Amino acid sequence: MADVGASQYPWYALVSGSDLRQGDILLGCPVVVIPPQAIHEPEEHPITIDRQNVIVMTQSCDLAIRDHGKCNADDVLLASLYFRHELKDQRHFCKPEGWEAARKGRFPRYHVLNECEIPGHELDYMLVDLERVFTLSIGAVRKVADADGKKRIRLLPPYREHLSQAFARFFMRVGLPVDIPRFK
Amino acid sequence: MNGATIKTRSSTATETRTLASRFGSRLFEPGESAGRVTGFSVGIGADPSVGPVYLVDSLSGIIALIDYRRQQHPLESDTAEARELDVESEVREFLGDQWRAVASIVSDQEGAEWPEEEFEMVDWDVRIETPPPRPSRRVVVKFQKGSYRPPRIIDDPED
Repeated sequence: MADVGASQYPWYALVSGSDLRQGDILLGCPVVVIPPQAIHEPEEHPITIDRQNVIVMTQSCDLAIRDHGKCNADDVLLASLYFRHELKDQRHFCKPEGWEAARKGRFPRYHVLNECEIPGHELDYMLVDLERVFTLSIGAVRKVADADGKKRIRLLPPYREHLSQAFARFFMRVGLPVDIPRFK
Repeated sequence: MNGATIKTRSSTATETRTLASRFGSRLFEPGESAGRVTGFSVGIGADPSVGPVYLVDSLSGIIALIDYRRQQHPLESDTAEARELDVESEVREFLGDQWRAVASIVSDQEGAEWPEEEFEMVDWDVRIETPPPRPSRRVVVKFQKGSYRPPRIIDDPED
């Protein structure tokens, strides 16, 4: 039964071109880090351009190109993602127990994505960091997505809605200043 | 031994202890159940007068450090001079000049009334301390005052 489910509901698909959807995985996406002094001092400043592995968080409906030739979104929200093998030295994610806790949703900041087994495009299990998010202009993200006509991996429904739900849950969290004491 | 519950103990109500690693690095109230284990032993540092007391989950190899003031990170199991503990045993720390119980291991029957999920709490504070390094480069950009144009609010023709 598990195999039937896996074939009927694949996690990923290969896509190419500048058409963007929520769940598109962009490897080596440039993220600009502006130094604080550049905010109020208009002159030359060095800025850092990091190459992050990210996943598109903006809703697909806001990325869809409408009849007037544009989409609703001016900017695209991107969340960092890390591969499992990159976190071998991390305290919470160096052992299966940490990944299992994350998989069960006990670390709300993180969301686990399945490994990708598409031949030639294999990816390890991934951890989406829902707090480490960036925005880039829609034009820039389309350029990154379409770079060299390469194929990229797209997280498919319902897994991308599952990710979106995890982000919403994390974003809307409320910390109470005075909580109800523990019942004993 | 199929399972047991670790219950923290303390001589005063104001003292709290943390069972790091296995059960998350949060403070526990005295008498609070800190979690369930399926098999464990206890290890004592090479020098009991300065070494921490910690639990070793013999199945996972993860150690829950009792004396969080000395070290917050889990220890490696191969550093422990471990010996098996029976249910009903106590875990102690060396405080001042005497050993004092800070946690006790109670029988599975007492812990059995609690569902397993009770001890697997949501942890909002987990974070990757040092994200994996990424390639980056620096470029010099000239910032100009007043070059920002605020976005215009437009109606969606399809709405």
